[in-house]
Amino acid sequence: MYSRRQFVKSSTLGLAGGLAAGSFAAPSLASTGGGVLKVALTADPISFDPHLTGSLQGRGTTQAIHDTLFGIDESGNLAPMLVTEWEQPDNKTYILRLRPDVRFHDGTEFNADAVVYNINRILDPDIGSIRSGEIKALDTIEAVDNLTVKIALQYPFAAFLFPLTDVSGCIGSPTAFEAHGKEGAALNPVGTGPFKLVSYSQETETVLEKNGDYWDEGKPYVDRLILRPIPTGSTRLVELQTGGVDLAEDLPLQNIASLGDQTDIVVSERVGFRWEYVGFNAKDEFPGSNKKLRQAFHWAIDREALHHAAYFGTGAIGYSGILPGHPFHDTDYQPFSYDTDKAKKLLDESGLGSAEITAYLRPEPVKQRAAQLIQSMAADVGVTINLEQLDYASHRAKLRGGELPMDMHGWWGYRPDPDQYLSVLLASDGSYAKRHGYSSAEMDKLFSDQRAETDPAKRRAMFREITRLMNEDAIYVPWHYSSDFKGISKKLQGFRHAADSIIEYKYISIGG
Amino acid sequence: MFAFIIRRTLASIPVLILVSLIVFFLMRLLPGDIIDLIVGQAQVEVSEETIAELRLQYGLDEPIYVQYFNWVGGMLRGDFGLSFRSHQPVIDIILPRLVPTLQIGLTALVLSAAFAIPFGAICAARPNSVWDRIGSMLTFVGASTPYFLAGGLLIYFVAFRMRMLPPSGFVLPTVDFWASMKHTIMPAITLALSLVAILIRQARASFSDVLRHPYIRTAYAKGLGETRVLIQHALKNALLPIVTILGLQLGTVFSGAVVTETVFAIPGIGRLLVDSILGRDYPIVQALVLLIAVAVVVATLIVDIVYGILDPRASRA
Repeated sequence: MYSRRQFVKSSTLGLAGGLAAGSFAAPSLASTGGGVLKVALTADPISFDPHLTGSLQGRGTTQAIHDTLFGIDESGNLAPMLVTEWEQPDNKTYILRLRPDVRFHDGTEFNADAVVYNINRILDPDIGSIRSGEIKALDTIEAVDNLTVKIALQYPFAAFLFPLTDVSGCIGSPTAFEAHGKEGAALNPVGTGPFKLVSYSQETETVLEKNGDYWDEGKPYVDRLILRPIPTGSTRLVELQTGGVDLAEDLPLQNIASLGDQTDIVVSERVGFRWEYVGFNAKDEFPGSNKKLRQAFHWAIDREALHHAAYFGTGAIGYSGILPGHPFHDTDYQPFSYDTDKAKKLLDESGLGSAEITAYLRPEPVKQRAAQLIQSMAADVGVTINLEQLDYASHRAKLRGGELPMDMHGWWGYRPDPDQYLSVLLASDGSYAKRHGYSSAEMDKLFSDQRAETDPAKRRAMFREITRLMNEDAIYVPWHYSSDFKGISKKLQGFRHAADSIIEYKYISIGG
Repeated sequence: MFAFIIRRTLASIPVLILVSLIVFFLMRLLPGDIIDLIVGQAQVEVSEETIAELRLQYGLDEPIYVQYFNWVGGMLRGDFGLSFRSHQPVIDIILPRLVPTLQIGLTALVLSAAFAIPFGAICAARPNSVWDRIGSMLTFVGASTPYFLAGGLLIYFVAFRMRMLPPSGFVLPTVDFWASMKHTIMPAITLALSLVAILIRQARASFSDVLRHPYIRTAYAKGLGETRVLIQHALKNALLPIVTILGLQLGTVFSGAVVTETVFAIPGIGRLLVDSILGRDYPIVQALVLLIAVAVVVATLIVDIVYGILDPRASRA
């Protein structure tokens, strides 16, 4: 295994959003200038249109070019970015004050009209942005004056501003959008961000250069950013080890183990990037329609064993859908333990006798390992799980059709507000809920209540109630929070491992 | 010869039509489409209206035969459509990706032929010698080593341990010739490994066949050395089956490219093809498969022409 010494956990349970210590402190004064930062991505960004890009790499690169309206601070709360101040006169209205004297890369002015234009672009059916669902609560958006935007919602929605910390909140130059059209915008991004696009060659490299007029004084520190898509994990690692790149995305677990005692590389782990659960389809034709069977899995799964065997002890054991690093996460909530007697008792009460259920897997090695362990744990209590392999698109098609009897893949991608994904999974109108045959009036009420609530402390308590009901209904049996890993050359300073895994290039500098 | 080329070209048209039909309908038989992937990748709630709008924009709402004729009609006008994943014209995406694949593939073919043909000849000339045993071992190792393993080992030893070559990526020869060569060597060797295995076997079989002929005995009898017999007398006749196999190895080069380009992060068409199949990027897959079909047809044609030069009887038939 790797040495613990160089294995920096950016966020552990309970230390909400606590960032890496030591080598990733703020850049020292001696090393704030220049250089080329070379990064190995897992995939090509493909598009730099903030409203059309979908992948993590697309979102990350797009956010280096376009600033978002809001940021997220290290405790997981909303922070100023292009919006400097905001207020909420009532639970359906927001007033946003924008940062003055900000210009797009094409020299045009960033103002309230630009914000209105961008939000309307997301909602434009001709653009076909998949982000429209994130802001569907919007009723009207208007420019009150040059630097003030007023947003009115159709219904109270406490999580409304959170998607605006991601690509939905990226603001591009309206002049450029108009000039390039929908197809042209993909490769001609014009934002206000710390970097400008210089050149792009698909699957080869994306070159960005420093925006010399960036509003955040002194940033970015590096002059140039070269992003190279390298699909194979071990190759990314060798590039990092030989100095071909300074930063590598997503180092697979088995490669981290092979690092040995190499001293010029640090592996940063951020717990809570993905949430692992065993999902059940509650429609009548599937065994998962039996609630006792579903509940039995709370006790039948040996979370500790999975944590060690499938994840080599990385990440954290999980009992809820609120990810570690989020202010609503509660470390003390541990309602289940590995108890086969309890599981068997629930199965007896289910009246099923024995159950057989099929789980379809996507080509993800860690998940396959975990699925085999869960398969044997289920066999111990008398449930037969058949595992079958599908490619990603086929798996999605089955999921869309609501044809997955059992879902071993969980939810990937940290979201700054749990409503952003838990409502998809649990509220009756959520697509995952529908596909899992789940609908609960009590759950729907909990969701609409927390949406109308503006006090975060009260919302936190409400989400605790949502978690309790989720575990009671056991459509999703949570078992793990897994991590995002990044390999970083020790000469880099200022790296912040964001919960959503998107690299904030503007804080990074290259030291000696 | 000219009539022969025309005849062969016309004969390939039905093949290409068949290929276009197969690739078009096979891709659509695969479960899931680009919209499933867009929605899945973004992990956000996407409304049914947005999904319907997207299907319309991607032209997936039309009946499948209409989609086929739209595609074929576009191609006849030189329009291969837009990539589903990147919204860029298919041609703009495919053309730059050809260079690395061809450069690495041809290097591998030349390397493996230059090594395997003489080696196979020696194996045939001295059966059961040490050389012959090394030859069988190379065949065995080459044929049974998967590309990802060979590539991974090369990266580990050559790039990481010895730091002799860059581990991944590609540079165009027009930009920096030597850098381009450096990026070509490891993937070419990886590809060449299985080619060498096939070619040594073929060369050995073909030479030992030729070496049994009486004219070889005559050549030896008139006092020629082994080298001269092999090169001046045996080579030309032994080459015929080897050239056939070499031409057919274009398929191996393409299929090997899929893995080597992923391991070495090379922007070639092998990786493009797999990414596009997994990404349900129909326009790219269709254009690429057709392109590969054309390439194989042309390669077979070239083999036949070379055959005709080596053995004039072939083109008269």
